[in-house]
Amino acid sequence: MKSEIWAIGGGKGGTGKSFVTSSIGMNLAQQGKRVTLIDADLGGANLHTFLRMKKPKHSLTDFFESKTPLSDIIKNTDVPNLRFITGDVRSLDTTGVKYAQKLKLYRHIRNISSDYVLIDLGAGSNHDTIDSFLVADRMIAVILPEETSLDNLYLFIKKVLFRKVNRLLGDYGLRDIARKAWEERNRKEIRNIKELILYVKNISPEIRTLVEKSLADFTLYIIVNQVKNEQHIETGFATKSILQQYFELDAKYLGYIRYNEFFWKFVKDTNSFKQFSPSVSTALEIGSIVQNLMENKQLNLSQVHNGI
Amino acid sequence: MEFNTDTLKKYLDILDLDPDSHPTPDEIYRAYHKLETFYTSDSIVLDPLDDELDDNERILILQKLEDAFHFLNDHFKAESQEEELLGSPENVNIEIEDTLVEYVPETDWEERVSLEDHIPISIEQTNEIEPEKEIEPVITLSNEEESENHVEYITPPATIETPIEIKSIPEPPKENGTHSLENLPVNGLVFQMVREKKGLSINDLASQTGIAERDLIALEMEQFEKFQEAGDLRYFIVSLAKALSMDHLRAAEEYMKRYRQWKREHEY
Ligand SMILES: Nc1ncnc2c1ncn2[C@@H]1O[C@H](COP(=O)(O)OP(=O)(O)OP(=O)(O)O)[C@@H](O)[C@H]1O
Ligand SMILES: [Mg+2]
Repeated sequence: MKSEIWAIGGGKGGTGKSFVTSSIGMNLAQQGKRVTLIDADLGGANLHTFLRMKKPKHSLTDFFESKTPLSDIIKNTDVPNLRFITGDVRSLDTTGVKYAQKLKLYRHIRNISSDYVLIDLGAGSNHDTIDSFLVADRMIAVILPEETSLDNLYLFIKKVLFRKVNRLLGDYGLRDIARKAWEERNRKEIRNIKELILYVKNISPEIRTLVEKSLADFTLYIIVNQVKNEQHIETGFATKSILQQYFELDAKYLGYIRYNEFFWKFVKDTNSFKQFSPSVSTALEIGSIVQNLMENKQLNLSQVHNGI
Repeated sequence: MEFNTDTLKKYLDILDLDPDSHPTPDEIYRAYHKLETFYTSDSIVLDPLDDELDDNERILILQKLEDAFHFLNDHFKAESQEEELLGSPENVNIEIEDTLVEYVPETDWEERVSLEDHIPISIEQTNEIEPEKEIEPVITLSNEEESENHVEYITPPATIETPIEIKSIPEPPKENGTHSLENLPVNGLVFQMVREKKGLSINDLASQTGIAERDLIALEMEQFEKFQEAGDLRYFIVSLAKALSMDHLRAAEEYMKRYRQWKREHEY
């Protein structure tokens, strides 16, 4: 069986992407799933610190440059069933690695003997991040209940949409239409990505059908981290609604994680780390997010009101 | 009754309701109201989109939310009616279902599940939508002109060699200074938005006009079934429009048109 790829991103730095990646990974591993975590953060690979590990010697660079098989790069962690691969700056540099090579990487990743592969994308929204996001089976955005975080999320989504539409058009021999239109956006009076997509759709009914089909099977999963009050929790519903109604994407609100005053204690605590002690509310919150992911469900109002 | 699980789930999802639940009218209203408030207030989620999410865009979204509200409200009302008749849903027998439907008595179920008993009485709404904003262009998507001339579409080649000429987005009608809201055909949603723009709650309006809060809510939500007498409704609209400093003649004409349309559709 091929492994399922979940990518964790969302734009802004420091929202908790690495923490969420490692926690979801641990939770799945505790349930007996075979999990591989990949740190694809270009600038600040630090996923290993959440796994209480040193940065491994071998990285994806060796896969690209020396054709080292992934199986030699994967490291075991302290948690049974949980393994780890680190990327690094060189290996995932846009100029260094061609799209074809990246596709090859993802083919290999799918064939790792794991049930789940979780990719920590890091902050930002460069090509690699977007591409990794797009090849994943699930795209998870970790956001904070703050304006800058949402601003970053929208930017991220716009780039994802642009890239997705561009790639789709490319597949039908219509490369560069979207890019050219965007370059001439002033003359064409295209003000934003939404209008660009409208423009592209209006080229012909066939293109419209293609674009609509490709955007329809695109779901964005949202996690709101570091929430401190009920209003913060509701940010997730609002974000989901905007993504659905304005960006016309399918969006699901997986859940939230409260701000944990003893965050590092929680991460470093051998107990919560190894057994993912359910006495900790953070662990419970992660648990319900993982459950929603596995059952393809999401948070709803009655759960919030019943104080889940 | 036409039933489509996907549609039902979609609307439940839009309002963040549990897809397997049977929400009460109260829950449906609250869920709707929460999002509706979100789109008409300042919010960290909306602010970053300030320069692209104009009033027209917001109204389109609000209309979609309202559709969801109405669909769910009607659906679960009909469902509880069915339950009332058949005891529990398990008793529904497909063979007899059709005949049973004919015997729907005019019981008090309508009142039992009516929103009136459940809606929180005072709805505080003090947020304003930006009044200064100029009207933004509406992007017209329709290909109608072309499709009238060419009845069939011929599949184009996979590659397009010649540059494609696209009609540019039409200029917005320049309506010097007036806010787009005032120029929209008057319906329940417009009443609601004008009220909110003025920072008035339902409660405020009720004391100002003497119209009961539940009637004001029914008016805004276009729960036409609550208005038996067209004359009463017209009177309400005129009073309401005056209280909101809207053109009351136009309001009455346009709103009543929607009411009559609804009546025609629900006559039989
Ligand atoms: N639920 C939480 N409660 C309290 N603090 C948190 C929580 N989640 C994250 N943090 C804090 O935020 C910091 C950043 O978390 P993390 O490294 O997971 O973010 P990131 O999104 O991966 O950042 P980067 O973009 O730099 O990779 C953590 O070091 C921790 O101090
Ligand atoms: Mg990180």
